[in-house]
Amino acid sequence: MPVAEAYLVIKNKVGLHARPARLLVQTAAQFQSRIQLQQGEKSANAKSIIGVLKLGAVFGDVLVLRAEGEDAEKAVKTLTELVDRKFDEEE
Amino acid sequence: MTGNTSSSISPVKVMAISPGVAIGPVRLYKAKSHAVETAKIRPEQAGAEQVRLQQAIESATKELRELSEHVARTVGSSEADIFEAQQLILADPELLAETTRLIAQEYFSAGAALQQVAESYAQELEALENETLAARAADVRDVTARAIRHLQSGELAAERSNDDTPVLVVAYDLTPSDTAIFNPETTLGICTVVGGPTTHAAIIARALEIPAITGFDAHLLETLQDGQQIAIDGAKGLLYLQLEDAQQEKLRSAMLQQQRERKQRRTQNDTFWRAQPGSTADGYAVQMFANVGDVESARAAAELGAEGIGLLRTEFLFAGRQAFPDEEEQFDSYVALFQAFAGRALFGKTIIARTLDAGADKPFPALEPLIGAMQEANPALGLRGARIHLVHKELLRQQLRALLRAAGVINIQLSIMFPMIATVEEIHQLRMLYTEVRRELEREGVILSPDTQVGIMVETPAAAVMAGVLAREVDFFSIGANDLFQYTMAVDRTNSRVTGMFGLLEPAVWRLIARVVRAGKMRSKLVALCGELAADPRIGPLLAGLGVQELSMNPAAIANVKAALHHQTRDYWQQRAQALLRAETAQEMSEML
Repeated sequence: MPVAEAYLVIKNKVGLHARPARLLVQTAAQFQSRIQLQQGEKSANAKSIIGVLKLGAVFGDVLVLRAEGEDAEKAVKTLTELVDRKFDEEE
Repeated sequence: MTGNTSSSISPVKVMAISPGVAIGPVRLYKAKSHAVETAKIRPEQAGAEQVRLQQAIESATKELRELSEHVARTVGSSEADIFEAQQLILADPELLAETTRLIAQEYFSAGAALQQVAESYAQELEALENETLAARAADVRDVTARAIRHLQSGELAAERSNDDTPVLVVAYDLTPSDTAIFNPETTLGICTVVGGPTTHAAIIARALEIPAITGFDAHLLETLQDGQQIAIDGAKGLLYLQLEDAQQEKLRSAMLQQQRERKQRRTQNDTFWRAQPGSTADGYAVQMFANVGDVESARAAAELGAEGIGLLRTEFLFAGRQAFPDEEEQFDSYVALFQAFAGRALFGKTIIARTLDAGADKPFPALEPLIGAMQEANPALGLRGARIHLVHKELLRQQLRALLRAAGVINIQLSIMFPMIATVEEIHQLRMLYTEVRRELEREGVILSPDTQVGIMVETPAAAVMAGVLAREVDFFSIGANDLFQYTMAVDRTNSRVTGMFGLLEPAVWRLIARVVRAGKMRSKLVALCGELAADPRIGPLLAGLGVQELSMNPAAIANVKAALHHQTRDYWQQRAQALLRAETAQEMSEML
C-alpha cells in the first residue's frame, strides 16, 4: 500500500477552526486513502471534523500529514496545497 | 428621575452580545426535551437499530440542508455556513464508527449511543479551553439533538411559533437551530443564561440585528413569568427586570427608533435592490450578474437579484470526482443548474458558462488518467484553461455538446467563454471546434438556440494588449480581474509575502481594463468583468464608469453594488473612473476611492 507523508505548517490566521477545518475534511473525504494528521502527541483522522477540531491547531503549528492507500500521494499533494493556499481565505 | 436610588430598579449588569435596546413581554423558551431512552436493546435488534440511526441521520442532514438554504436567504451565506458545518458533523466517520460500535457491541439504542458519543466529543472540545472550539461543542450537541429527535418521533414538530406578538425570548441556552428559526420581526430581543459572543447563536443574532444579552443568574428563570415586561440593552450589557414609567418610555422610543433605522437599511439594501435592475441614478443600465459554482448558488443568485450568471464555473462537475463525467451526466447537471436559475430569476436569463478551467494549481483527480499527472514547476504559467482544451479536444467537445444541448432544453440565453486565452490563434481553433460541434448537433437533429454567444476571458496581459485584434473574433469579453491582476503584476495572489506590496487597485491593471473596454466598444462587443473588484461597492460603480457593461460577483454582494451604483449619475462615475486613469500609484488610487 503506497504511503505518503508531508509536514503542514498552518499559515492561515484562524488555524484549523471553522471554515478551514471544514474545507480540509471535505477535501480529505474525496480520497480513498486513510489520512491521519498528527500534532505532537495528538493525532486525528483527517476525514473527521470533530477529530480535526480536537487537534486545536493554530497559526504557526506544524502537523504531520500521512496518507496510506492507492491515492496517498495525490491526497497529500492536494491537502498540502490547500493548507499552503491558506484555504483561499482571500476569496 | 428618582431611578437609581432603589436597587430593585437598577439594571443588572450582564454580558453584551448583540447591540440594540429591546423592551417587551417575556417569552420563556424551553428547548424541546430530548431525554433519551437509556434502555438498551436486545442483541437481535442491533441490525434494525443501525438502520434507524442511518435514517435519522439522513433526515437530520436533509433538514440542515433546508435550514442552511433558509438562513442563506434570510440572514446571509456566511451564517448559513454554520449549518453546512453541522452537516459535516453528522457525516463524521469517527462519530459514526463509535456510535455503530456501541449499538453492535454494547447493545445501546441508537439514540443512547449517539448521545453518549456526542457528549464525550463535546466535552473533549470544551476541555481545550478555546472559546471558538467550545462553541463547536455546542454544535455537536445541537446537531445530535436534532438527529435524536428524529429517532424519537420520526419527525420534527414545527418549531416556529405562529404567535406574532413581539416578545423577548428568555432561555437557559439557545442552539444555532433555535436562533435561526426565530422570526426577526417578532423577536425583540434574546436573553440567555449561558452563551458568549462567539457562539453561533450570537453570530446569528447579530446578523439578524436582534439585541441580545447573556450571563444572567439561572435563578431568574424561575422567577420570570411569561408576559412580564423586561428590557435589555445589548450594547451596554444591561438587563432591566423592573422598569419605571420614565425609563420604559425612554427605552421604548430608543427601540422604535432603532427598528425604523433597521427597516430602512434592510429595505434599501436588500429586498428593494434585489428587485431593481442595476442602473445609475439617471437610469443608465449596468447589468449585475452573479458568479455561480453549483446548483445552490444558482438558486441563491436568482433570489438575490442577479440579472444573469456572468461566470458559471463548470468545475463543480469535475471536482472531487475519480472518473470524468460523461456527456449525459454533464447534460443532466447543466439542465438542473439552468433550471435552478431560470425558474426563479426576476430578470433576464443569460448564463455565461466558462469551459473547464483546470490547471496544476486547480487539479482534478478525474483529469489525470486523461491528460497525465499535473505536476508543474509553474502551474500559473502551465498547461491550463484553454490550453488543455486544445491538446485534449475530446474533453471540450463533450462539454460543449452537453452545454448546448442543455441550453436547448431550458429556455435560457447561453453564452460560452474560454479561459486563459493569450493569442488570436487559440480563438480561431476554439471557434472552429465550436462550429464543428454545433454542426454535429444540428445533423443529429438537436434543437439549438440560434443566438449562443462565444467569448473569452481576458485574464492574460497578452489578451488585454491584443484586445483590439481579439475583439474581431469574439462576441464578448469577460475580464477575469483576479487573474489579470496576478499576471500583470506578476504576483501570486495567495503568497502573503508579496500580496502586501500591492494595492487593491494598481494603475497598470486599471489601464489595461480601460484598454479592453475601449477595444470592445470599437467593435460593439459586450465587455463584462468578474472578480473581487466588481463586488466592492466602491469599485464596482467605477468599473461601470470605465465602460464595463456587466459586472459579475458573488450573489450576496449584488444588492450592495446596485445600491452604490444608483447613488450617482453615469457622468459622475465616468469622471471618477477617468480620474483614476491618471493616477500613477496604487496609493493615489486608494486615496481617490
